[in-house]
Amino acid sequence: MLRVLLSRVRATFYRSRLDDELDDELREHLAMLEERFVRGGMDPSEAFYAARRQFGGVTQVKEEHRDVRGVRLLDDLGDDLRYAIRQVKRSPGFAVLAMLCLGLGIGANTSIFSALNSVLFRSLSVADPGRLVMLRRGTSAYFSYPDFQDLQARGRLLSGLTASFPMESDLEVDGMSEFVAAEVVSANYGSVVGVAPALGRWFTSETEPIAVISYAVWQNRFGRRADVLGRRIGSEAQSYTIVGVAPRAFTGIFAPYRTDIWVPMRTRPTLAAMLDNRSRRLVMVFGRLRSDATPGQASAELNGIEAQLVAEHGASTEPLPPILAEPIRGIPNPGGRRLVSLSASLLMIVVGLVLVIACVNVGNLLLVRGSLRQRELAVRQALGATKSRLMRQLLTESLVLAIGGGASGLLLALWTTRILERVMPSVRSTFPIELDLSLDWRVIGFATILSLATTLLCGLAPAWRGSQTSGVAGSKGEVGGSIRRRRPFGLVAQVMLSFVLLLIAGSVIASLRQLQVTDPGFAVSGRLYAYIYFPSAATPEARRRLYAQALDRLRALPGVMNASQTEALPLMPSGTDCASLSGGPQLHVSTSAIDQGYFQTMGIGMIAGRDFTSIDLPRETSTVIITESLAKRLWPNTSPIGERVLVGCQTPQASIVIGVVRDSVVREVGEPPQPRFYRPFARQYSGGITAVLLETGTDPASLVPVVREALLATGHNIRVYAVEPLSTYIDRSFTGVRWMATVLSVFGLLALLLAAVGLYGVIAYRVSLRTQEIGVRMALGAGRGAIFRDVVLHGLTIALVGVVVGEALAIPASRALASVQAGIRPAAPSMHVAAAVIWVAVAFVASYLPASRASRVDPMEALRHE
Amino acid sequence: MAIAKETCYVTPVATAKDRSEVLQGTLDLMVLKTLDALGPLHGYGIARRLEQVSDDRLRLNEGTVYNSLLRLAQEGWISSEWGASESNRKAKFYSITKTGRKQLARETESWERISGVIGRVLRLGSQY
Repeated sequence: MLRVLLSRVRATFYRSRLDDELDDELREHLAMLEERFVRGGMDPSEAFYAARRQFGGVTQVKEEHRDVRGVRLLDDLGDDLRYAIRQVKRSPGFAVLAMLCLGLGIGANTSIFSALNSVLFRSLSVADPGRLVMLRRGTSAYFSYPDFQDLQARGRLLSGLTASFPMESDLEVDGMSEFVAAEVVSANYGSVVGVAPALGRWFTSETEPIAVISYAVWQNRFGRRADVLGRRIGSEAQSYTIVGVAPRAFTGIFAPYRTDIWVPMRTRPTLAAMLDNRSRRLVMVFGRLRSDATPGQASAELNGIEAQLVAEHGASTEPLPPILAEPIRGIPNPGGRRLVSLSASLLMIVVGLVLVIACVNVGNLLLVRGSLRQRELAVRQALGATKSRLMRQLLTESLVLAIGGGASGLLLALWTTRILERVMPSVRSTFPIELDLSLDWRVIGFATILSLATTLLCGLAPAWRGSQTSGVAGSKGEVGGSIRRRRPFGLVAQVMLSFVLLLIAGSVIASLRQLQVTDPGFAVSGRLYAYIYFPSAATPEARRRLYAQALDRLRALPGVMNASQTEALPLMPSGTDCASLSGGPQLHVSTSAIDQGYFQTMGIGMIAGRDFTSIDLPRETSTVIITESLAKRLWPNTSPIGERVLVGCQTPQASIVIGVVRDSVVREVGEPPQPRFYRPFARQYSGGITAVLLETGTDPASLVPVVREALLATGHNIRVYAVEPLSTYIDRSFTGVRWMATVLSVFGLLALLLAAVGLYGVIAYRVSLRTQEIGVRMALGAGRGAIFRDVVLHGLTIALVGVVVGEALAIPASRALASVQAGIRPAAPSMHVAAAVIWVAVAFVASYLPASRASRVDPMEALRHE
Repeated sequence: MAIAKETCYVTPVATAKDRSEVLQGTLDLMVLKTLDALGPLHGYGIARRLEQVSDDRLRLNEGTVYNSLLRLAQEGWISSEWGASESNRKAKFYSITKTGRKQLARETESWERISGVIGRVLRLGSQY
């Protein structure tokens, strides 16, 4: 069967040659027959006919030969394609408009898909990425280091296992410090992951203080100088020697999150101290499959080893899901993957709607053309074309348009993905996200499938309608009957979809505005912050004293009115702890260590009591300051000042409440008030990086260089990270919403534009069809105003119906959006009104031109055509 | 794919009543057998041979031979090659392939079985 099909398909491509051959063959056959008859004594002219009689119909044989030989559908497709291309050439304006519409739609979809592709599907640029697997248990991907070592030692199906501990870290080069993403890895990382350094080498031991830097760091901090190997960099309290540079294409195993430095597993004292504890699940484990093993077999083997380990060391307290080895695709971290894919899917839906609008537009254009071509179609039908044949021909024409649209869409995507790459926000952390949005076969395949789907979506209805041409009516050249009777479902759908998109875009923009004016509970303007660290201090206490010195220096600066410090700025992840009254239930609340003067510096109002002072340090009983909302929860009716609160979850310790302050934002702007308590920095400091906060009398931005200099002058190997106005920092937390607002506004406007063009096109076309009717009405006494009103009302009715239907869809749509992106609330009623007004205005503009043309119809002129 | 499965008439000829119409599949089988017996042959030669063996009892539009040849070629049972005919004309010579021989053996066997059965059934009917 397959052989026959193949030979048929092959024959399709050699059609003309095979036709010639058959002609030759049959001609020779007839000639021989004739010769034979002549030899038999027949008259030559008689022989000619006798030969043909005996042979049978030559044309029939050829016809049947062709049917058997090729694939009829393919032959026809070729014809249809040629015909369609002629059609396109004949009306280039229409073709360009249609391809542009589809190109915008397909381009938007392709670029968003390429983001989704790089997050979900793209494999790492390492040797044989298909054999690289990540281990996980259920949703957790973390294993204890001793377990990892045992799995590595006993496993056979994985040719190597490596461990990585991803962390937010700091990187100091020549006294300039910044926050970067680091991977703390086992020594065999480079060989198991399968990536050769662009320069230098990977690790050989887990204790040697050496580091590999990313290509980006090499480029940005070392100007890609070749003598980078052997240079020293600082990270946390350690100093490392650079031994390698990762290749440009490899941005770490957590790509698209970019890793900037890799250091050996046991060079971080805090991590190393926890590493040999079998109950601390700290590292993520990656392995390379042997060529003869499948992930399933490897998983089974690992679970077998795990069972041995449980027998040897005892089971962990809670039951664990089985180990799963999976090839790495996109973001390995399940949480990040979910977040990114969720927002990308939402965008996918939005751009999908844009494409639908574009398709409806092209579909409408095709319908209009179809009704103009009724005559041609009727002729073809009269000549023997079946309805399905006509339909195939019309669909082929939309296919040509869709292919053109797909090609222009891909070109557009080449350009838009470059913009996307630049504006893609980092997802809620300092881990930079670096998406590889270049077009790969998946993206191109997606665009192709999209083009084909588009063909059906926009071509099916017009093709169906076109194929239903009645031969008689069509050949008389009657046009327009069908379009007038048609209910404008397509137009209403366009208005509806674009209305929903407008509403969504509007609500995101409104939410962004709202966020920007929301009072976070502390002063944002006129404040400056800096993250600093003293890596060489021997103890936390010594370090705390150095911080105090640095603060004193800052306080002495002109322009600085107040200064304080905290371990975690607002919006940074801070600790949580339990607070309870004796005998009462425990409340999980967030907590922060702050230095005295913090509330004043941050402009957080003191409601009752006092701030921490130095007398709070030596006391037997610790002191806390609580927020208004915590005070209300614990002491609804009495003043909390001087009361005892139990702090801690396992072994609660009594603390005395010395003050109550106003609520302020803890995790994100716009959240409901979070109960929180503050403890004195002097007592609570754990030894980590600290943020100093300044209240400045002048513009904080102007103080940045002065503050940086003063801090560096403190000495003691101080590392100074960000120094910037607090407003910049808060504003950065809106990046996600802002990005969403930008993208949605772009697509919302695109949809509005496409739908408006569609509405205008159809109304204008209706007017041109009804010229005669309008002429008659005018001759019978209808005023120009009435005609004008008629056309405009038609446009407005479509818009209003679309808006009403859209209204019903908008509510679930904006709810879905609110669940994806925190801080976005469903659109306010005023937003609904605004979107509706926009559409009414657009509909008016779109129908104004056709309406005024209709009202200018000269009855004499119109009737003369009759 | 079995040749004898096809049942549509290829040549609806109604002129001579004593001549049988040829089933499409049967024609394919006859062409295959001819090529097996005589070696490489052009379409004209096949037509002549069929005419000769059928003793003029078989009515055949010679053109249909070419459709039969095409079907056989698509199945891979015969191959073709351009050459010169006896009268030095350009002609396409068809020859049976190895798979074609196998198919012929299968078809012959099944044809004999079926025609035997049909013959018995027909003889049965004539007793009444």
